[in-house]
Amino acid sequence: MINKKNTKALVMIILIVFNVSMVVFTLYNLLSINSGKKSTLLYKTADAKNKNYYSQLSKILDSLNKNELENLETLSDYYVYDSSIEAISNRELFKKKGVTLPQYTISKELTKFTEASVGKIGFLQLGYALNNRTFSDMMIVLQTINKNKRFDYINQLNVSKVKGSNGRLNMSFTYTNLGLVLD
Amino acid sequence: MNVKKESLRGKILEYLSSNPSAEVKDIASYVKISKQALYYHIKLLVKQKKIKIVNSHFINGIEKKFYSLIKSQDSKDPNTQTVSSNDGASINNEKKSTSSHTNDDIIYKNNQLSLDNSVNSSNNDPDTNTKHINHPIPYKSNKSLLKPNIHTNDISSSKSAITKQIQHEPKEVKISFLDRLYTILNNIKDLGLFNLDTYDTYNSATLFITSSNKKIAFNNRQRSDFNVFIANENEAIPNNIKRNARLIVVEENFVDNHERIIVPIKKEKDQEAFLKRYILKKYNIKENELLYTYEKFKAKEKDMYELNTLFTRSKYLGSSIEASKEYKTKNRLYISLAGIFTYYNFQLGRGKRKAINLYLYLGEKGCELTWIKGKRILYNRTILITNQAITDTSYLSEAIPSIVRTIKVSLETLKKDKLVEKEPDNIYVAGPNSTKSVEDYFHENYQVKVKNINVKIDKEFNQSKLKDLNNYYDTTKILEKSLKTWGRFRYVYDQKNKLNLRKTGLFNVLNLFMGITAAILILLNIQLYEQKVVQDYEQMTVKLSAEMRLKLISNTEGNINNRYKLNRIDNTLGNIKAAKHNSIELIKLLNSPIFKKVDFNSMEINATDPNVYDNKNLEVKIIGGVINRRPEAILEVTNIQQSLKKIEYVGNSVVEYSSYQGNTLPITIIFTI
Repeated sequence: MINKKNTKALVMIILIVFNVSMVVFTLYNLLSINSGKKSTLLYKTADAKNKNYYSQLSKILDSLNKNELENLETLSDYYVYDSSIEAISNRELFKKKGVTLPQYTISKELTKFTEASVGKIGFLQLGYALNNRTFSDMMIVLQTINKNKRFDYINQLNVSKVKGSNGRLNMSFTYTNLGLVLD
Repeated sequence: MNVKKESLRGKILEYLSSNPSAEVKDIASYVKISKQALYYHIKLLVKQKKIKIVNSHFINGIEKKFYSLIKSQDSKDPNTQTVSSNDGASINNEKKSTSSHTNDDIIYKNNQLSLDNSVNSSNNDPDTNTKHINHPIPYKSNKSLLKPNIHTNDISSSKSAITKQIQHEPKEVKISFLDRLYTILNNIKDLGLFNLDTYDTYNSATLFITSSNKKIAFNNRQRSDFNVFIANENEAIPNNIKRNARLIVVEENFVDNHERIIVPIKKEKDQEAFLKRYILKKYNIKENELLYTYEKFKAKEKDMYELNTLFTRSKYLGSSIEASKEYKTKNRLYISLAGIFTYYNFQLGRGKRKAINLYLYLGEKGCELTWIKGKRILYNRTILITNQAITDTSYLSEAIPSIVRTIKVSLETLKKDKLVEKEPDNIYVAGPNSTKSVEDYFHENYQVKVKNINVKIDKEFNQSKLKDLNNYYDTTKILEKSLKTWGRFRYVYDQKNKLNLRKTGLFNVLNLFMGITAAILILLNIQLYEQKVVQDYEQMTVKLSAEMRLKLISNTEGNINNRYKLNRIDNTLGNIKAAKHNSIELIKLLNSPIFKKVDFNSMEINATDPNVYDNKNLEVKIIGGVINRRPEAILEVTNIQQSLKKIEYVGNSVVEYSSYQGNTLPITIIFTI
């Protein structure tokens, strides 16, 4: 009798332990489902907002893509080399136009400042001082750079009359050339 | 008896002569009276041995009986008698019996008889033989019969059984699903469903010890056959009846006393101690000899309790203990007939629980008189009728006066205690000597419903074969019926054992409850786990989708930045081209009429570096003067300023002048182009 009772008590204890663990498991499952639901809802809400944001971004990108990068495409044909090569190139160019360029100064050596799909882009600046020159010399310089299809321009220009020279000019300028840079 | 009734019975006999196996319903429709009215006549005809029950089976828990005529020549036919009483038996029948022996028969070495009313009947029963010959058809439906298989170890029977015994192949008698459902519903009705002890009776056996010390054993709630085994005092009971977890021991001769004590004691331990002291003092019993059991009921008085006790001396239980020793089970429930009747009474249904019923157990040597209300014994007395076997007539002549006297005394006592106001509501008679004449006697004298609760089934076969069982077969059935819904172990000896059993029962109920809870929790967890898996999957999908979108956003943002940068570079390149053109435009502007009057001294032009993403406008600063135009020079300066403002591509124009220096007005012109 006692043994049987003990067996039943043992069975009861096992069942209690089992039931408690099952209750714990049930609670865990319920909490897990609940937190899962909350988490899913949060994700869904965030995703809905992100979706909206993404659609706006897409519109922006579409509008940005509408611009054709003609200048960059043109740039792919032009390279900038270091100051000595550029100086020689300038000297020969202006020589052809009848303007002898004096010795140059390097205002800024070849510098890479950005990168585009076509490659790395850089520029350099060379300083020239042309003294006692005619107005037509100045115009030759300006016209030559203007007609040049390269992406170069005069960054700084100082022109002053030479006193008592009957129209002679002292001219100093900084020539800036921009283009692709070779690695 | 009047002519009308005689003619009615004649009709019944007439119908049965043409329909050898008919049930009451069929007869009722033939004679055109109600079934209830017909029962009386049927009973009378059975008693007069004009008709007999040939078949019975249970449908929806209700026993259906089939009746047939008893033809006078059956019992009178000398040929049949000779054949049936011949121990040698007919060759044909013997062959049949030999061929139908089962393995169990061999084990018992023909010491037992397995008798039923199937085709393979023994040849020494005249009735059965006749039935066999005259009415072969009804036996075709034997599969549906409730077969009482009665085993005996009786030597006298076994001797003749070697030749006489015809073992029948055990036919599966399946209790229908509806019957089982009906039992379950009954249990629910009696609120025994959640008491596991109710179900324990499925796995319990009953040992009934008769007054002549014979052991009648059977399994409670058999699924198929109701096997009753009878053995003499020193004979063993077969193992198949001993294979039970719990044994209920009832002894016919068991003597115990009943007391009702009203006490204000509430605590169980105090009640027990009080009761023990009370019995010991009042009945002068030694402490180590006392065996008692009690049930607590609320008394009519406020805060008072009725301790309803049955008690005895341990020596009276000795024979029961001795008889049950061969059972291995430790769970033995010793209970008196009075206790058994409380179970029977409680099963009568909720409506009848308030009725005051008198139970009369008419045993072979004694009589048990028990007043019961619900599950509470109001009064119990054992009456000794005789010490030796006597005839039925002598028994009744001896018993009736004693019973009547005891009823009178008990009624007065109960009236005095205000427990009973008049006669009992019902009288139930049971036991081997509960005959129809006893029933009629009490019905006529007390004018109350008298019911013989012995369970009658078709057993003519058995009675003629097994004299030892006598009328006890019906008694065993009433025991089985009473124990149908066990539980709470009322009036079980002794109190300690009963409490232990109750504790075990409590454990059982708790274990059942927790088992069900565990099953529910498992199912719930399976569902929850499924939900969790689905939830996890959904969460993972949503998370991935959100992360993908974040990556997409990040990429798009990168693309936008990149594209924006490229656009800016492209714009800057465009502006550089424009700036080159602007320098020529500037020269053209300086040569325009606007500056005709201006003498330029110097000019300074500035533009931003290429890494500054702007419009690359030229900031122009001109220093000069207006010569020989005094005083109009200032006016001239104003004209220059206004002219510059009118030009679209010139911005931020400022023309400043200082005081005349001789005939020259010094000016500074600043603008962007």
